[in-house]
Amino acid sequence: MSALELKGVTKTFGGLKAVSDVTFSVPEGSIFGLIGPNGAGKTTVFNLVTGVYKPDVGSIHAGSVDVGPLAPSRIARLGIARTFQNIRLFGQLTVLENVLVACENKRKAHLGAALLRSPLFYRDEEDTSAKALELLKIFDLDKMADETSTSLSYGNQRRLEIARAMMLSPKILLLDEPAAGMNYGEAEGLKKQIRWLREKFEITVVLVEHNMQVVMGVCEDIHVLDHGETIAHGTPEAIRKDPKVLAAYLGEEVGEDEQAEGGYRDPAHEAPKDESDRPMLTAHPTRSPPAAKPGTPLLSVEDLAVSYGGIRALKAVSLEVRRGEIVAMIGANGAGKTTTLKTIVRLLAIAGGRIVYDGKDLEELGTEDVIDAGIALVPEGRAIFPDLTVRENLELGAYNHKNTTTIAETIADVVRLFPRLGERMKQEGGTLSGGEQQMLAIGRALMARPAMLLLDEPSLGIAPRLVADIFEAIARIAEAGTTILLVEQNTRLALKYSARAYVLRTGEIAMSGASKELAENEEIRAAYLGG
Amino acid sequence: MPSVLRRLLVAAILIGAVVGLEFGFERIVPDAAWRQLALFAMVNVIVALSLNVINGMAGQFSIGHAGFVGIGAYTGAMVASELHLKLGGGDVLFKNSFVVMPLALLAAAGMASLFGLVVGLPSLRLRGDYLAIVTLGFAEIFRLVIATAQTGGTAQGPVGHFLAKLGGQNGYAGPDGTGVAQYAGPFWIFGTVVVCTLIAWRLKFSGWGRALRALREDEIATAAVGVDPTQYKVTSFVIAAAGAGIAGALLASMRDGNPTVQPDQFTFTYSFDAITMVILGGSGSVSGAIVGGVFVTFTVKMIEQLQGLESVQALRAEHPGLDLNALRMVIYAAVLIGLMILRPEGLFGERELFKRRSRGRGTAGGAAPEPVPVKTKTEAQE
Repeated sequence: MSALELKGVTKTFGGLKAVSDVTFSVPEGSIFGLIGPNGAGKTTVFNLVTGVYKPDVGSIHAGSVDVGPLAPSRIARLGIARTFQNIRLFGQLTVLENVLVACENKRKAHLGAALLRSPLFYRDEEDTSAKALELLKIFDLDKMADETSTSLSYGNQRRLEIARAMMLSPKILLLDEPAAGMNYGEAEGLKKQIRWLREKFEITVVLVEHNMQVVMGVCEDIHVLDHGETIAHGTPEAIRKDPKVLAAYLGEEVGEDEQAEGGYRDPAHEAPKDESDRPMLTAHPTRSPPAAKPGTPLLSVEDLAVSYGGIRALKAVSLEVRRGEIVAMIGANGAGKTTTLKTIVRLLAIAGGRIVYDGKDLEELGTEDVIDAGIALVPEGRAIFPDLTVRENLELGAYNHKNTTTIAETIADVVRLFPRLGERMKQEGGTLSGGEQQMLAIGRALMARPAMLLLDEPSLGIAPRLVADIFEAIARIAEAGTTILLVEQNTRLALKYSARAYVLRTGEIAMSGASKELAENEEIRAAYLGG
Repeated sequence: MPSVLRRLLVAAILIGAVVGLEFGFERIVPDAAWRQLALFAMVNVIVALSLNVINGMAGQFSIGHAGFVGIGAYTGAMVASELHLKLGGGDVLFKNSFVVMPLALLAAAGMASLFGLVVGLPSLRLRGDYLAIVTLGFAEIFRLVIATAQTGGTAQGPVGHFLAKLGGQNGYAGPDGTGVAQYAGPFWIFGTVVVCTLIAWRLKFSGWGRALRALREDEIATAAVGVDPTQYKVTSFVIAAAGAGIAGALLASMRDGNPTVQPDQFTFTYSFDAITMVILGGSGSVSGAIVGGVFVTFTVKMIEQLQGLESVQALRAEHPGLDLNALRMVIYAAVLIGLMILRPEGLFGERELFKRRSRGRGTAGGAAPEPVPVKTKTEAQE
């Protein structure tokens, strides 16, 4: 008996086939993986199943019900719950309220009872709150029940989305990249949670995920899409060896041991010869280069403390980035990595300590002054401007030097770094695939011609094969003379490409040292590398 | 149960207060102009409370709220005046108001919500700014249809006849032209404010209000958890329209108020005033809507009063070119801009003046959930 069955489903957007003749069936009670490169149509399949889009051709059955023509809210009430790739929580509502909204459709006390505040209303509120708190407890969110959901860390927001979906008491749970932004240890935890949810609530789970550790670890059945078409279907073992999947998606097991230190430079990634007389990413046209000499500290953070509401997100973080280095910051979700980066660019208030960039104290500066001083941030989750074209996105990044010649030069540099962006200059940012959006976000930051680049999770939600390209690009940016501070959950790659690294744990530096040594460290291996 | 006792006590105090106001209001506020202003402020509070349901909680942008107030005003005025004649006319008696006002309010709410359904059903299916355009258009159509109706002609059909009764640009002053029967004294106006506040509060803090606020945050995610966005948006729009209708009926029969209902009372300036009240107080906040309604009413009045000051008059004598009337709106705008700079989320944000009594939390756990393998070794260290 299949819980979910797609037959010949096709969906076209403006002439482009996002999903083309896809057929698969998900056995009841199984954990089913849907994988493929960015832009393969995985999320579109989820949107078709949940009624956000209607299929042009083909049918989608949940049990015996044809859900194709139904409205999203109807489908949800049939017991198909989902999470979203780019988290969609009810921002201003509390954590508990977020979960409670999901039982609204089953509520026994209706508007009348609510207005009269009848006993039924109170009983209903109590019952539903109790159930919601129980679910929150499963995801370890019960202590944050009264905080607004925007105040949660990225990983906790992902967990809250699952808790909210489970409040529907679904038969089928669709998870869209639940492991995005999780490190090895957290992904292991997620695997256990998914299995446990399946046992406890007797649900069928369909998973879209780029994290192979999770996909290969929990899925019993895997369906692979590329450019909207099915390219493979089978067990994890079969998929892992499938030549088509290797070519289109997995690549040659990126980031594994064969890529020795320093030996990663692939000739194919070298800049095209005809352009290469001009050096890449020259300095800012008007700002003078940093006073710090190469190899001496460019950015130093001393005992930095930051609070969110009443909570201390950073206790005392001290770190140093020398000019020309790539420095990595690793650690669990909620450890304070993103907070550190955001505070450096002065998006968050400093509660204690100081940040010094090239001899300047950043405390009194606004974000725009920090950018002017030569720091640029590639934010977590990319934050590109979805309705602007790729070119407009890039041009906005050059806001601090409005000079047409230098803008054109820098755009050319970005295209040399990411040729795919060159092909898509006129496309709207929101229509790019996840990997391309990440390239655009990095490109946009480079447009400011920064002396120092802060990168927050550049591999988040990127297909394994593209992750290597992104890291290659980061190496080339550093080679061109830009100093880099990198936050990354792919600890293996982060340690591989960086010279030094800091390990954050609950708002404090737990460990630091040369990346090579940290990669050998027992504790780090166990927690973040899985070896 | 003590909570039932407490509720009865609060209800008794409130009823006592509004009855007291009915008879003591003239002693508390001897100046008729200020009395009128205070009652008008209360009507505006109801306007703000109702608009807050659709604009603040559901996050839909309706900018024609004055239209629904107008529909309520005309409906209420007609019902009140006709009933007044049926009851024998003459003096407006407090005991008769218990017949007239409930019917007038009910008719006004019903008529306004009917129009709300007609306007809301097609426009709320669409996303984005359609509602704003449609509501604005609706309010203007309503106002202009009444204002431009020919009065007194004989060769008119039933619709023309009906519109002629509404008095066109001059306004509706009852069937005999002597003015609308002013049954809405402090008892009815303050009383209705109390009831509307209670309803708004209970709507906000119910599953229904929660779903509306979720809708405001993310419509797709709301649908994905089984809430039908169109149904919730249309319901809230109809409720908002009903509230506006009630406010209109009170405005039409307000004691010490204008005895005629005129189309010019419901221009879109009034719609924008209503939006200002909601945003200034804090979108989504019931307390905010109340404070916003009072604040906006009195600020406009205060600025008018300033013009009477001797120093201002002297200034005017010195510079005859100075147009103080135009300056009034400049000062008003400056006050609003200042407030928005100081508190961009409105006076209250989405918060409330009083903490909601939380019930059933903490104790409601029941059996402890079984242990779950949530944390891995690394996370457990933190």
